[in-house]
Order: sequence, then structure tokens, then C-alpha cells
Amino acid sequence: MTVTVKLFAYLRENLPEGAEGKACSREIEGGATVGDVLHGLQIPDTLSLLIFRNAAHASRDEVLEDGDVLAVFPPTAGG
Amino acid sequence: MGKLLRVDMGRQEAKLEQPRGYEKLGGRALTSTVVAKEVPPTCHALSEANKLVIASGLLTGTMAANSGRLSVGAKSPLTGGIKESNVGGNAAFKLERLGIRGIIVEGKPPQGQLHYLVVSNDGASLESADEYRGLKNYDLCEKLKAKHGDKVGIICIGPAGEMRMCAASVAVTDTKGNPSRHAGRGGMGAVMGSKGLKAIVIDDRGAAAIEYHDRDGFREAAGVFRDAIRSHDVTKPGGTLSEFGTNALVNVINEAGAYPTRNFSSGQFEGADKISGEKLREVITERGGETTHAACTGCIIQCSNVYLDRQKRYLTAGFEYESIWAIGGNCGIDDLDTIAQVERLCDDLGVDTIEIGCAIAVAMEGGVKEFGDGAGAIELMHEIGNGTPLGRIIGNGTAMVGQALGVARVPVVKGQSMPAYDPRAVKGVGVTYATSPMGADHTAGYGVATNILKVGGYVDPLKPDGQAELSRGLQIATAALDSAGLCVFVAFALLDIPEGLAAIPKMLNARYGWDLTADDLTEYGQDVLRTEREFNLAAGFTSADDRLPDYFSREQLPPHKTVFDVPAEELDQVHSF
Repeated sequence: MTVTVKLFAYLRENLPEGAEGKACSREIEGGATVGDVLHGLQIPDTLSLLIFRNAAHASRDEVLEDGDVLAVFPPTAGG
Repeated sequence: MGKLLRVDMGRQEAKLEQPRGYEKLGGRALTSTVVAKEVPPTCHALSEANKLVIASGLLTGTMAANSGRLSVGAKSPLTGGIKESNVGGNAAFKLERLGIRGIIVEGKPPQGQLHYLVVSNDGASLESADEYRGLKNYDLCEKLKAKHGDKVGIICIGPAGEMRMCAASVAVTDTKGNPSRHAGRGGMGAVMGSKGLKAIVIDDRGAAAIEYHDRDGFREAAGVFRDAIRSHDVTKPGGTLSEFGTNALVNVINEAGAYPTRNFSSGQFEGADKISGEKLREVITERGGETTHAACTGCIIQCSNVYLDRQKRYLTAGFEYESIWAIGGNCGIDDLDTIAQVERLCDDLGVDTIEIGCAIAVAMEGGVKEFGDGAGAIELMHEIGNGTPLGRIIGNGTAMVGQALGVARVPVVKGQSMPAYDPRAVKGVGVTYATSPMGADHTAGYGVATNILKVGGYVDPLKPDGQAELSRGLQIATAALDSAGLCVFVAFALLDIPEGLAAIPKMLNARYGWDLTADDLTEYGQDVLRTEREFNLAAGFTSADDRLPDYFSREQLPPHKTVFDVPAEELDQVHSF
């Protein structure tokens, strides 16, 4: 299965080599969670994050499906 | 507390007076109370009967971090209701140092006269502004600084205010003396223009130090308050607000499917990346601008910026999320330099970026220009500056444009345009848009924090449940913060750090010798809202004015295919406290 992961603000430094722009594709096995994917990108488990899965809020323990799009932010505000 | 400076434009008098009847009031509490007590609710907002009230906050001028906000209030010519428009810059701090809590501008000068007010340690006087007539804000401030010294603070209007346009702002100089900060919302610039007042120059040289009832107690509480701001992930040095600025929100709100695109017809903009906080930071850094900048005296968050053009010349400062959205995604424009040019023109002419961006988007929907036409947007700005019939329609705001062009999709509440969050996909802020006495205003109760950013808990942005309660709490807290003169961004830290919040009443008590509790502060906020609601009811508002435009409950917003479905009964209970 393949998911797309978009990383924002200073998390972009965690994009793997060869990634274009803000996003990368990740091959995952069935049952893999949001947390597994983040772990694979060396994003520390302890980091407080804002995670969207297909434009809806998501948690690290959610199981992913083929074609999912994740958008991951550090704590952010503005307005 | 400080004195009030009452300026009678008819008699050409400026007199200091004790704040009788207005004790214990600051910021929004002061502006709204004066307007409620002294302005007939049914008067025309541009008539002699209206008053422009400018106030610093209860904590402004002190060592409290982020306390340099200024409130500008009046009956709004845009909404027809009461208005408090909040702004940063360097003016509030200087006023407070001079011992002045508020300025009340009243009456009307003989036809055609234009003046400016000079406030200093020696008192206040009105001077002729004939030589400044028609000047744009940047030019005006350069001339006033050349005459009065470059350390003065300036509150002023551009040509749009002189033309009494409903989208006209009141500009305030930033910490570098540029008129980049604006009390944008609700046409306060038009009210100032109707008073024949071009500018207020504040010279605080020789002013005495701020007095404290308990200086040591204040210092201790201010330390706790400062540490809360400096320790929260969002507001700390090196956090996203200081590093990426307010525009870091573009990608967040876009990914959440709530970024209003092309006049609120979609929740995602395909050009978001090109105008995002990350891109903005890259461009500013490349050109040698500033990505971290304090827009207000005493700010430790430093969320603002200084933007240079392609030739690396200063173009604008305070190039913020709301402005970039209104002119950018909402008009389908994805070029930062074009957006920055329009934004600079807004600052220079003295108009609200949110109102004008939305007005241009409605004009695009009405066929005046195509969505995405940046050059066309710049042309429309020049129409405003030149006061052409089309420019006057746009300069009078989104609702006026919709009416003039026969457009039915007009995103306003109480006549004021919506900011940068689609209320269908961020329902908490949708409740605030509907029910705030100010009209559609995100800062009046920033439901985005809890709906999207997960600050201060979490309420699902797409469901109607809990949104009315969320908005009520935020509106009350915001009214209190606005009265204290605190930046609303401190709430990001205080919602998660209780001891930081508890420091606010402690600071107030140490400053004034009061005995306020946290509960008293809640009541203080409630009183402000009650005062504002009562004014609006007397001005003719009904529950029908506390609704979003009908199409938000019928037209589904992509990608979530959601509508605004918070029940009307719940909207009507928001102000039941």
C-alpha cells in the first residue's frame, strides 16, 4: 500500500532524500498506523503534532488505508 | 487610571478630564461603554452624534508582555452596530505613559475643515491638517515624523478615511514608525474622517514612569505571565508564530479543508503552497527582510514580518495571514508579490485588507474581473484611491459590492465580511461570526484554536455539537483580554497553561490595588458583551442579524461536503449568561 505524507514548517527537514516539495510517498504494510509512518520518517514520538488524514484530524494510532494523504504540522497558530 | 482626553471638533477644543463614570475600564470595555453611554444607537454613524473612542488597555504601558494593544470604537458605518477594532503598534503604550487612558473625539468641524491632534507631556492641541489633505498613510507619517520627531506614535487615516468609505481603517505606526498596523474592521477610518481628523501625533518624551500599587507583586505576576508565553510551543521563541508568522496557517487551514477559496466556493486552494508561511519565509529570507518582527511595543511573540520587493526595497510590514488570504486565495491569486502590492495599497489608502479582499472577490464573482487576475486587483485598488464610482463601491465593502453587482453569494454578517476560515468547516468560529456584536470577526471568539489547532482542548470542527458553548466562552474571554490591552495571541499559551491565565488578575490587582479574582474577570468580559448587545438591540438588531447568510446552510463546501448546521436556537443562546 502507498500513502502520501506532507510535512510542514520545520518538519520538512524530516522529508527523505529525493522528496520533491513538501510531500513524499511511503510504502506501508497492511495494519500500519499513522505513528508507524511518522516513526519511519524519524519524527520523535514525543513531539506534539497536528495531524490531518484526508483533511480530517487524526491520531497516531489510526490504521492507514491505501491512498491516504497525511498532512503533519508542528504546533501552529496564527490568525 | 489615566485621564480621558475629550476632543470637540466643533469647538476645536481638547480637554483632559477625570474618567468619571468610566473608572476601572480600559481598552474595549472603555470604548464600548463610552459609545453605549454617549452615542444614540439610532444615529447615522457619520453624523455629528457619533463619537470615535480610542483607548489603551488596563495593562498597557506596564511591564506585562504583549500589553500594547489599542482599541478603536464607535458606532460602525459598516455594520450599523457598535464596534471595537483592535490594533497593535506603538501608540497605546505612548498614550498610557502620558497618563491618558482614552481619547473621545466628538462633534463635527465646519464643512471641509481638516485637523490633526498633537498630544504630548505639555497637553493637547488641534492643528490645521490642510497641507496633509489627501495624503496616503506612508507619506503622511513621513511628513509628521519630520515635523514632530521620528519617535512619535501616529494614529491616522488615508484617503479612504477622508472619503468616509465604510472599509476605511485607522492606521497606527509600528515599532519602526511605519503605518503598517490597522484597526481595520468596521470603518473606524470613516468615522475619523467624518470628524475631520486626519491624524493624532503622540509624543511621549518627558512622560513619567507608570505607577504601580504593588510594583514587586506586579513584577512577580508579570514574570509568570511571560514564562507561560515563552514556554508554549506556539508562542515561544523559535516556535511557529515567531519563525513562520501568522501565515503558517495557510497550509493548516487548507489541509483542514477550511481555506475559503474564490469567494468561499471551496475549502482548498490549489495555489496554497505558493502563498504559504513556508514560502513567505523563504522569500523574505532570500531578499533580506525580517521573518521575526515585533509589531507592538512590548511584544515577546514577534509574529510579524517585514517584506521586501524583488529589488529588495521595503514594500510592506505586517504581511499577515488574513491579508494574504483575503487578497490571495479568496481572489484566486497565488503570487506573493502581487498580494503584497495590494496589501501595501490597502495600508497606504487606509482600508481593511479583509473587507477589501472579500469585496474584490465578490466583484470577481460579479464579473468585474476574473478570479486570479492580480493586475486587475491592483487596478481596483487604484479605483479606490482615485475615488471613482467603482472605487467607492468597493471601498464601501463587500455587502455594497454584492448589492451593486447583483451577486447573491455575499459572505457577510451584520454587513461585515468574513475572515479566513470557512464557517462550514470551522463551525466554532462560524458561531462567532454569527453572534458577535461586531459582525463576522474571527478575533471576537477564535474557535479555530480549539476546532483546528487543538489548543485549549478539542471540539470537532465539522460537527455542530459544542460549538455554541465554545464560542460563548471564547467571546467572553476575548472581551476581557481586549479590555486589558493584551494581544489575543497570548490566549494560545494561556488556554493550556492555567498559571499564566491566573497571572492576569494578579497583575491587575498589583497595578491598581484591586481585589479581582479570575471569576471577576469572566464577569468583566460578560459585562462588555452585554453592553455591546444592548447597544445593537437599541440600534434595531434582532436575532435575524445573528445568522450566517442563508447559502452557508444550503451550499455544501468541498472537500468535506459540509454545511453550517448549528441550530438557530443554539445561536440565540450564545449570549445567555
